[in-house]
This record gives sequence, C-alpha cells and structure tokens, in this order.
Amino acid sequence: MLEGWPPPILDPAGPYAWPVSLLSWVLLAMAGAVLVVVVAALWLALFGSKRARARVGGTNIVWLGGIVFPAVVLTALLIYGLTLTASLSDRIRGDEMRVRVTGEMWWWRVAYLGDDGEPTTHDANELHIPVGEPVVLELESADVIHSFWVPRLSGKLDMIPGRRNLMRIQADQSGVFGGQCAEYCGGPHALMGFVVVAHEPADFARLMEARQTRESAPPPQADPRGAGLFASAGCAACHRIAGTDANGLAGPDLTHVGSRRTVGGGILPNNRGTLMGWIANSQAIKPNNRMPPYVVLPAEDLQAITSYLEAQR
Amino acid sequence: MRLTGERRIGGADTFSLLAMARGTGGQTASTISLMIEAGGHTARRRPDRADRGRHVRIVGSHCPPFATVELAGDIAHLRVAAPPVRISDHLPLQVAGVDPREPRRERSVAFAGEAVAGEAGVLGAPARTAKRDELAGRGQALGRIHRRGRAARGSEHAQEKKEPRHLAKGTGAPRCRFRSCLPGRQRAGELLPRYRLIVLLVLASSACKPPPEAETSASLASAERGRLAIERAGCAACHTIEGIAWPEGKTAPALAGLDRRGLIAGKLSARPDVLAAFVRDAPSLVPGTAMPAMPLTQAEALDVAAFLYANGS
Repeated sequence: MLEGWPPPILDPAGPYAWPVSLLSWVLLAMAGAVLVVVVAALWLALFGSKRARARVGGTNIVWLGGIVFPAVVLTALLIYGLTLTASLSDRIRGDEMRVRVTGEMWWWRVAYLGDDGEPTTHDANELHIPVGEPVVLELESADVIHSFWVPRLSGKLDMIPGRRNLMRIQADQSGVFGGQCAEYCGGPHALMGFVVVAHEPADFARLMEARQTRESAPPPQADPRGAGLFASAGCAACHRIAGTDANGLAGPDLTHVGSRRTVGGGILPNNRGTLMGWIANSQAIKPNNRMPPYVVLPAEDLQAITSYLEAQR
Repeated sequence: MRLTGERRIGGADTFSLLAMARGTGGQTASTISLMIEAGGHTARRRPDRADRGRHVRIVGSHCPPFATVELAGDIAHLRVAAPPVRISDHLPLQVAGVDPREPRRERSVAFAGEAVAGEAGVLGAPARTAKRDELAGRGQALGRIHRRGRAARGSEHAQEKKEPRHLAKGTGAPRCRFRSCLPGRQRAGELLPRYRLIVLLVLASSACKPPPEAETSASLASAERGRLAIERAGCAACHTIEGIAWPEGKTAPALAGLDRRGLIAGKLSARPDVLAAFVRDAPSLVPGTAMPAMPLTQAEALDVAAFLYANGS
C-alpha cells in the first residue's frame, strides 16, 4: 500500500480545498448542536415535570421549533455555505496553466497543454504543478463516468463522457497529494489512484522544460535488450515512449515512467520490485485491469524490460 | 503413565472420586493439569440413574477442554464425548478432599496415580460389573495411595516414583476415613466416603502443547516495523503475505510460515539475518533470480525478516 493513499480527506492544503473542509466541520457542528436540542426536548417530553412537558407540548413549540428555528438555521447555513465556497466557482481567468486529465478505465491520462490548447507533453497517473499557482484541469472521460478527487487540493468533479468540466486546483505547499477516482467506474475502481506533485515554481519550470525537450528528443540510453523486448513482447502496442516506435495509446504513456512516484495507477510505490511485479502479473495486483499478465517472461527478460523502463525518466 | 501432584476439584460432593485417567502415554505429570467440575449430587445417596448424564468437564491448563465425560455411578454407563485418542494405558486416580457439607467449594486435592493395563474400549459400554467391583476395590485402597501421594506432594510436578505398580486389590481395606489424606480442614471423624463415583478422564493430552515462548515486546515492535516497511516497499506486488491485506501478488512465492520453511530461494540457509540480506539484495546472493534488490535499509531489512519469521506460522 502506497504511503498517503488512500488520501486523507479533511486535511486541506490549498485555497480550493479548505472551504470544503471548513464547511464540512461547520455543518457537522451545527448538526451536532441541533441533535443536542432535539434530544433535550425529547427527554423533557418523556421524563420532564408536568410543567415542562406542558411547555414543550404546545402549538407554539411546533411553530417555533419545527418551522421558525429550522428555517432560520438552514437559511443562515445556506448563505454561509454559499459565501464560503463562492471562491470555488470564480471565473477562470484564462491565463492559468492548463492540463487535460482524462479518466480511463482504470487510470488517468494526463496531457499538459500549451498556450494554443494543444498537448505539449504527456504523462499518466501523475500531475506536476507549481506551488502557489492555480492550475486549470480539463476533466474528460474516455469511457464511463469517473470523478476526479484530490481531497487535499479540491473537491470532487465528475468526468463525464462527451463533456469537458473545468476545475482549478492549487497547492500552497510543495509535496505529494494523493487522489482517488470518486465515482464507481467498474472493476478495479477502488484501485484507480492518482498523485499530484507540487514543486517550487523554479523546479517546476525546469521539469516542464526538460519534459518538453524530451518529447522531440531521442530516448535516453537504456538496456538495448529491454528495448527490443519492449517492442517484441507487445508492450509497444499499448504504450507510448516518446522518440521510439512505441506509439500505443491504449495504455498509460511510459515516456517518464522511471521517474513516477507510483505504479499501477497511483496505488503502489514505484521501485524495481513493484514495476517488475506489475509487468509480470498486474492482474494479481489490480484484478481485471486491461493489461494482460506477462507470466511467460523469464526472469532475465523481466529484468531487461524493467531496466529499460527505469531509464525512461 | 503416572499422575501425581496437587490439582483442584470443584463442585463435586463425593468424598472421593476414583478417576480413571487415560492418557496417550509418555506424558509426565507436569504437563497434565486438571480441574474437575462435577455438579449436583446430594451426599449420602447412592448413585443412581439420575446420576447418569452428569457432565464432568476437564479443563487443561494450556489447552481447551479436551474432553467432556459423563459422570455415573456405574462405570458401564460412562460415555466419553471426546475425539478418539490413542490410549496406551490408563490409571486410577484419586481425587480426594471434597467436604460433603460444602459441595460447591473448590479446593486443592491430591492426585495419586497408578498405571494399570488396559486398552481403549475396555472401560466402554461393555464393561463388566466385575470390572467395576475391581475398580471400586482399588478405590477403597485410595487412602494408602493418597498418603503416598502426599508424601510426594512436596515436589508437585515430580513424577511419582514410589507408587506401587498395582494397587492392592480385594484387600478388603475399610473405607478410608481420610483422616490423613483429606486437607487439614477436614476433621477426623467425618463421614466415610459412601459412594465412589468412577470418572473416566480422557486426557487428550496430545493436544496439550507447551505454551509458546513469550515473545519479547522488542521483537514484536520489530515485526510491526517490518510490516510497515513491507507496505512501503510494495513487496506484496509479487508476494502474497499473511498480514498484508492488499495486494496479493502471485509472481513470487507466498510468504507464510517462513519459520517452518527450509532454504531461502532454494539456496540460502533459512535464518533471519540471511533473509534480511536477501531481501535487500537478492541478485547478489542468488544470481539470476527475478527478485530485485529492494530499497530497504539494513535495519528495515532485519525488521522485514522479523516480521516474516513471526508471521503466519
């Protein structure tokens, strides 16, 4: 199990998360207070003195406690809630960095968009953002309804086939923030995790520049046997590695797989062991995911492919 | 097989119980600990049909109740409700010292045991009255046995050495007054034991395993750290590990019961320190293995080994 996943849900780390979290607490406190009042009234009605029972039994108490009190409290809460969360639906300025995140069964396709709205660099299951700047996500779906949720950075927003929903996230501190698909999407939905990595702006700029360069550059030096096996074993049919013949689009882009935090869609730490285990038999880890098991590969082939992938950073 | 030493009996109202203890043989007194609860008889009454079906519960010190036998005045009605055990011998066993006026009281009594020949079934339903009489005769001689038992009580768990191989039978010895064999509270001149109930104790003593060595809190803490390290490293991507709920990888062997397994990876000696070295850097110890070096510190690797050896045994 990956550390920090499933993510904590009431630990906001950005301006689009804390109103949600605060509102949750306020609602919980109010609901608790109302419960206390109701239970006290019930206790009086059952066990109170005659006078007290007469007092809670009249028509007035129905008007006051049953209609006026809820109307006032609920209206006040509604106004408070709308005010508190108004900032979440501010107009998007249009100059924010944009990333298209597409929900797939059961992983996330990530494309960083240029000024022209076209993808400049690709990734999967991991999103890099700069600290302190809002990032606009274009949330889409390739198959069924998913829901994008990084609890520490934002509320949930559904990814609906045929629609493009916009959501802003922002991290006020650097760090790694777990996410999770929040709309049941079949099979291994519960194992459809996600990671957002917030970098200091300078680091982020360097990272993006390197990635954009990499898109048009030859692949890094890597185990040639692994490269051959990657092509011949069929990996390339579904996975893309920029600058190589591997051009499949059915599965996650593996151009930067070696530097990813996670394996299997945000659910396992990425190291040689988990990567090799995923390749050999991902079905045991994430049952019914769409990658077939490669149990026929001998150890040296697994090692070669894993070495090759580890070099894709 | 001999039994001797202090044991407890509760709730019985008989003055003495001649108990036939059956054991699997080779069991020393120190590993057998009994508590007999027999309930509900009124004193000074011959055992009759109503006594049949009274249950005697035998409770071992380290093991669950290993037998429930019925208590009856006639050995022919003994019924044993216990899993079949291999019986190599059985022995009469005196349980004395129950005050008739305190029928529910629990107190210490002494055992004295003597092996007699016998096979399973001899004392079953087809037992003869003659056999019963013979046993009753032995029971009458219990006073003597008991005195010997008391002599040996100083070393409670020591095996009784001075016990005669066979009790004098048919000696016509008068009923023991237990002047010397009952605990101190029992005064001389107490009523004679009027009835002797024959209890068949089936000691499924093979079920008695000595208690496992208490684990130190240090090793438990180490094992718990090991479990966390396993989760962090994602070992379960390939190994199904008892105590790790998810994933249940199938690429590599399941890791349960390691403490009973020989050879690590079919090659290395099964020791925690070797296992720790192996999980850190398997390829250097077993060239060609698919298991990669894992990102663990030496301390973490030792914790992992502690967990695996403590787990699933």
